[in-house]
Amino acid sequence: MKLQKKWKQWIYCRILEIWQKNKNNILDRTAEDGFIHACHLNGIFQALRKEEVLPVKRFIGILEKIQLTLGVLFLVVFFTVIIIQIITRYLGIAVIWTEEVANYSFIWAIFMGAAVMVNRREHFNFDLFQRKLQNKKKASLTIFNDSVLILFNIFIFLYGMQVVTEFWNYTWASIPEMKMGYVWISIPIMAGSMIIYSLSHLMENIKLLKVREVNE
Amino acid sequence: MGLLLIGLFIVLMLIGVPIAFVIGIVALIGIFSIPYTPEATVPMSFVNGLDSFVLLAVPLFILAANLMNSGKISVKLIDLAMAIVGPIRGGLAHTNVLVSMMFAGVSGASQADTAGVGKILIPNMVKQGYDKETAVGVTAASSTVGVVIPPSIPMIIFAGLTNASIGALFLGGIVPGILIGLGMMIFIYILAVKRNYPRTARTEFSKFLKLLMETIPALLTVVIIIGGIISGFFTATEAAAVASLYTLLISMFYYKTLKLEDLPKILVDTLALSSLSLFALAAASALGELMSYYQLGAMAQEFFTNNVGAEWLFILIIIAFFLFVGTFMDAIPAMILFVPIILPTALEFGIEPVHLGLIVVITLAIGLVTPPYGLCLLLAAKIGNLSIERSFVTVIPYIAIILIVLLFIAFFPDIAFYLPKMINPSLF
Amino acid sequence: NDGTEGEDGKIKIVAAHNQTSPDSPYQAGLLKFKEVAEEESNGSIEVEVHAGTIGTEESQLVEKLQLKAADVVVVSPGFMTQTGIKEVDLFSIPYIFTSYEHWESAVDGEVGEKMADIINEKSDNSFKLLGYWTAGVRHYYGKKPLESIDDLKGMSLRTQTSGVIADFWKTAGAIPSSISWGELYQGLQQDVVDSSENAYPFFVQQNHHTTPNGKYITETAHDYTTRFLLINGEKFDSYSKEHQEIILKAAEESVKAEREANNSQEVEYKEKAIEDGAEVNQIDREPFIEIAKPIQDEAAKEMEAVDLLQDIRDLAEEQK
Ligand code: NA
Ligand code: NA
Repeated sequence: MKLQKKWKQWIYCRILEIWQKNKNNILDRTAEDGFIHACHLNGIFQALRKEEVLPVKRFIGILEKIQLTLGVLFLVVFFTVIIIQIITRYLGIAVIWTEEVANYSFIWAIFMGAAVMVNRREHFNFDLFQRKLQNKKKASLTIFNDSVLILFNIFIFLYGMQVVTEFWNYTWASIPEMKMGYVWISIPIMAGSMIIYSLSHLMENIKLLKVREVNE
Repeated sequence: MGLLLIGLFIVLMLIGVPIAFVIGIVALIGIFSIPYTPEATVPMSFVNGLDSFVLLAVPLFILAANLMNSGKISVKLIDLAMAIVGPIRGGLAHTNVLVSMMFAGVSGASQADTAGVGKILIPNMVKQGYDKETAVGVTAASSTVGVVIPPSIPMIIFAGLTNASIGALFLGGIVPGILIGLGMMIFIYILAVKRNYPRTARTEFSKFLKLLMETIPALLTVVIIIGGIISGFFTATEAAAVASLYTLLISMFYYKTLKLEDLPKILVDTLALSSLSLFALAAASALGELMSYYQLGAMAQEFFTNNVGAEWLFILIIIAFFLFVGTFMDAIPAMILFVPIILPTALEFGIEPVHLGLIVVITLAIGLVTPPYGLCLLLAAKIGNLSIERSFVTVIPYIAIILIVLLFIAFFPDIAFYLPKMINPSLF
Repeated sequence: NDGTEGEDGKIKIVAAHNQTSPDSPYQAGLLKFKEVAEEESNGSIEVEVHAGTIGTEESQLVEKLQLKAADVVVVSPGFMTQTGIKEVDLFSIPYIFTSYEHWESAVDGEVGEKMADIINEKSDNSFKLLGYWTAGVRHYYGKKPLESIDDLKGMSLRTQTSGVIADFWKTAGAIPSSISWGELYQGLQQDVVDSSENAYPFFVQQNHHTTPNGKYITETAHDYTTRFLLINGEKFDSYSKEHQEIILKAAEESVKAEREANNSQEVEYKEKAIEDGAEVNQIDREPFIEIAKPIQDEAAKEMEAVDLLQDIRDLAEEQK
């Protein structure tokens, strides 16, 4: 019972979130000025319920959380390692692995962060032209842009896999037991999750476009 | 092919594809077009571009700045600055500039200053009767000194690209940074007299002393960072880590303004901001790779030595070029892409790398307040709830001030480098 | 796009090293390679030389070679070991070569051939050795001259901090410490580190000899350095017989040109160091060599290259 309530709450929050993110896409100018069609909200709600968006959204949410946590952990790791490097140097202890460990954690942190930023649509883009377009055209353009990201990331994923397999057995300079593969694998993971995030944006936008058409 | 790629770049950018991805896509398609070069070099250069110890300074300096904002250290700096320059006509505007200069001494980037200081000072200025335009303009423009006064992330990146001495660049940034700040304050004073801006009440000396004592631990960060790097005690990256640790410690245990549970949010914010600019950097290194396969550096050198005989003209071209690039690109990717191309030419003209670095960094600092992509301008405009267009208009006079200082430094580099050369000739 | 022989029978070779200076011996070597290859093939081979432009890190060059993003590269043994070929590091053990002539007879003879086979086999034909270059002979330089090995006691020395090289210097009494090459000048200037070791052209170009902790040079000659000139083996096999022969010939000429450029720079920069006020002294190297022997044995065992080590030592005996 309690779980169900939580679940409902979660749905409600997600809907609000989607609404917030996409309101510029789906509302026309009058709406943006404060006049919101109830039917729009209703439409979104129905679309969400009907099309089983929920498990997908939940999965995306979990994925984002995992990546964000990983990114922050790696950030903490390289911060700590650099402090260790300074301390040990002044104690006269030679610790040789610090630089490599710091560099590779940094790469992981940045790639995980960059993927999360795709989900949050935070990567900087110019919206001058987009803002000038009207609803449907604007939604179509967003769909096109998402497709571009997906296509690009498919290439990065595939070529990234090629790099991973070619160089998997290369070793770290300071810790020969560690394989370079552990570093390279961050590329396909980043690209793969970027594909997932962009796909979910794409589906959302297609749905919203449909809702828009229904309500017109 | 080159033209086609440039066209693609522009089209993708205009239709709203995120700029970092535009750079990556152009790199990928460019590599497609070169026979003998496998496409896997694109993801490879993503990693290779980030695989540099110097770059770790970027998130760490952002972390330090975020800690300062969350730990309310910026509030204390504002109080101190207000006690010093508040009583002058246009006091809050002067405070805004001065606090940016103090903040710059701790922070390697400018955005954190705009956000932290702007949130407090813009509403305050409006309340005191300043027009919104001035409030937003001063906030955005003055935070550009963040990357001129050391420490500075762009300077670290430049040094990494050219093997110029980080210490020399840092010391070289002090005088221009102060000149820019002073120039802005003079302009503000003239404006304030004309428009009759208010001043704030004079602070009693005892109270001022108390404020000063309170802020000294925060201001010590500057001494630790700059002193540490110049004396060779630690590298720039290590300095950034020390700055973060130090800020964390003083705000948790000395000021007691930061709690352990605040940390996750600060770390997430740091990761978010740094992964945005560093992912763009990763993509830019793929595009840089493409440019080196095209051997653009050698081509540029040939072009400039054959067609641009004079050093001064070359410098002006560099400034104009980076002004343009800065309008739509962050300083870091812009440098990754173009510094390797202009460096051989600059060396041939006898321009010292540190001198070139100062020119490039100050020019790109202007890019922080030029639309469409000027992060500080966007941030300040958002905080002040003002349109980008109107915000930009108010920033123009300040840009002119930075440009004047820039031209002086470009043609009389001794202004910037005389003092540092006296202090530590071994850095040059 | 990793196409090889074009339809018109023309090939393009991307050749790269990691030194950005146009005066580096590597550049002289690769330009010679280009000159000979293009001339001999009447232009049906085109060589594009990259001086640091597609990678200033050797690890990047090796990766590019394997991916065929570069066709010919110059790398040092240390970076090759990261690809999983342990044996190559044999050539960088201190005092494994006792003179330039010893080094030359080793790499240009049977030892060199064996090493080339190992590299080719262990890399699955990704790397094929075209020739052995050198980056000069490395000496000690620091804040005092070495009169005997005991003078090294307690001195901090900038060198590798792990592996065989570090073991050697530790046994000799020094404290290996890690400072990046770019920061070393300041480190020597400001007493962060007492001493360093490298070949004349490298440290003199960086003005290390003008610092208080770099002005005393003792010619320890502990490392006659080896650099590998490599081509991607699969790509090489895809070329026509004629082109293959031309490439081998060009490589041979490049070896001569590079070694010559390096040797004349060694002389030139040694003179410059002395002119600038640095002091050079000689030292009895026997005690150093004695220390190095057990370390060499141990390392060769670990690299599974005991036979190769014996071959190299036999050559030294012959030359005595
Ligand atoms: Na700064
Ligand atoms: Na400000």
